[in-house]
Amino acid sequence: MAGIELRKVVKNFGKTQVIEGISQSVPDGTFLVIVGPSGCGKSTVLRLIAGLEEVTSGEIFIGERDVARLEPKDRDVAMVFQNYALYPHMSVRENICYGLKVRGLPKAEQERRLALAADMLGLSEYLDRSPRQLSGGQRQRVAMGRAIVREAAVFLFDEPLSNLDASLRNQMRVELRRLHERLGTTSIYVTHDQVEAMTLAQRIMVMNQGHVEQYGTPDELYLSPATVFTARFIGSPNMNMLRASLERGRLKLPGGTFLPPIPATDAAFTGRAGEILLGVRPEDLLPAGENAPETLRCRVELVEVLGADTLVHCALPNEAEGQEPIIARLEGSSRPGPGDVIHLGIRHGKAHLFDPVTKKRLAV
Amino acid sequence: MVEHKGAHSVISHLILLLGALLVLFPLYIALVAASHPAEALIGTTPLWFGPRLSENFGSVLGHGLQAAGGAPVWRMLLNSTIMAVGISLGKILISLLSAFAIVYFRLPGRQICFFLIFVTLMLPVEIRIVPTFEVANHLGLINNYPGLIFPLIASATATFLYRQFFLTIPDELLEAARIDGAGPWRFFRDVVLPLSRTNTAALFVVTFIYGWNQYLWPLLITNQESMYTVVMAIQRMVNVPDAPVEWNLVMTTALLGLLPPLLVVLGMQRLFIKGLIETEK
Repeated sequence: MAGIELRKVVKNFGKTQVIEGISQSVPDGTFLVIVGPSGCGKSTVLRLIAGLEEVTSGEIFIGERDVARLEPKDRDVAMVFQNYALYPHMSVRENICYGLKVRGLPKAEQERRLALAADMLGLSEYLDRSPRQLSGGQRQRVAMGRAIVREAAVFLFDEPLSNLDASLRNQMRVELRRLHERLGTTSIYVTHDQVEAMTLAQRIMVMNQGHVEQYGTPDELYLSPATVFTARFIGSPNMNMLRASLERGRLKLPGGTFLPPIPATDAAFTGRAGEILLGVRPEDLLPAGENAPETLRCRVELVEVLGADTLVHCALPNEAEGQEPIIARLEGSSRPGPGDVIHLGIRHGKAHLFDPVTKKRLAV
Repeated sequence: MVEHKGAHSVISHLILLLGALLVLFPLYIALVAASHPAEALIGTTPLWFGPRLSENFGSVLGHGLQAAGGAPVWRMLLNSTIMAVGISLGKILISLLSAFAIVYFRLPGRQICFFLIFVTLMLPVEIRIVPTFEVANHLGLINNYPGLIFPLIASATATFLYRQFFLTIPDELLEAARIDGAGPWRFFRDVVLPLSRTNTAALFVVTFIYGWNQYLWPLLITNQESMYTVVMAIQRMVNVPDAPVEWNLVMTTALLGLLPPLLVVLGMQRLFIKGLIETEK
């Protein structure tokens, strides 16, 4: 087992730079999830660590060794692929043991590890089947078995659950988590699904266009996103972004509503004026009394009933361009109808402020 | 279609039967001819079996046709078999390796190599026969098995077939194998080769028949009875000088010459068909 450290890792494909110099370290035993929209370079980072792509420059440390220029087999990593990549002509047993066989492990040791992994993954009955006789979930488990028996320092997962249906995906997610708790192997998991990221990760690395937007625990990312991108990417539905302005230390919405002072931020904003982006998560919008001051007054356009919650899509009037969309997550029992006018307040301390130019988080 | 199912299936069976009869009739004639003494075939074509089937087979296999030089046919069958198997295995080996190199290695000039291999499609044996003979002659390949085999084993078609197949093997398998620690050779042996099994079987059948049916090249490269192939021999038996053609023995030899390809096709049929139609891996 070992930690991973990336130092100024750059990757170019031809003239396009896809990874723009990433430096991050992943402590030993961490479950790191790399998340981002497609094309952000997350899979490339994983493949660079695995050695399936060569770095253009920079260093990759696994434990104490710089592995950036080693072959994949010498890096002590195991990988689970999106489409499982099982050898179709080999039985489950042969698939799992192939890496050990190639490395020339004694037969008895292979058997011992196979039995252990098969037991852990509930595959013991299927060892003599061929991959095509297995369901998607079982194939996924075989792919994981192949990684487990290697007893590698690092596990790499490349969107391993994206080919499964929703319920199986939830189930496998829990299993993955348990597996990690049991083995404690440093793992890097790539996904575009922010729910997967939030539930699995101990650390999350949000990527966008080849650079790291934010690196931290799921809570850090959720509670204090560092950039507008992270704020909108993490959490579902997306965080509402409203254009506001600062006047005398108070926030003013385009509609003319003044919001209550945001205590923690007051100091930082002394003297600052002008445009600002106000982010509010849908669940941080609370229904307020009709006559309460300092609320958002908006018109309901669409209501989605989820059972436990109700998602209310509203339009917030503003001076400049008419309306801005805003989504609130209300309690299940609270169901306004389309066309209603509702008043929403912002939960105390839950407003996120961003610079409209740099898109970075301000203070707090 | 559905309501006429009975009539429909009767008609299709009739057509199939007719086709089968058309194909089998010459074979039947050959078998009948092979069962008569030579005199019975002069000027007529008997339609029913004569008494000498086993004698004819025995004499052809054992002694051959005296008037045509007299090498026993078993020897020619052996030569043909060695040549055909040699050509098939050679073609498969060379094509597998070259396709593997073209698909899996980023070697400089890879596209040019592929292009050059492809160009050889335009150069079958018949076109390059004179220079090829010259080269073979200088290399001492006259009247031996290497001479029969080597000039015919390069195959653009087979290389192309393997290349197309390799391209359908998902990249992840290669990547998984690399992470599992398999080098190129190991990957070739443990993954590529077993996955190409059905393609290889299909190719073996096709190239075996190609090799078995070679006529022009063996005619050129051999001049000793002991190296003749059975396809050549049949032609020589028909062109005997100063003697009547012994059609009964010619037919017997022809039947013997049909047998090995037939056995190969029947033996490999299942894999062969699978290799040609299989899309799933």
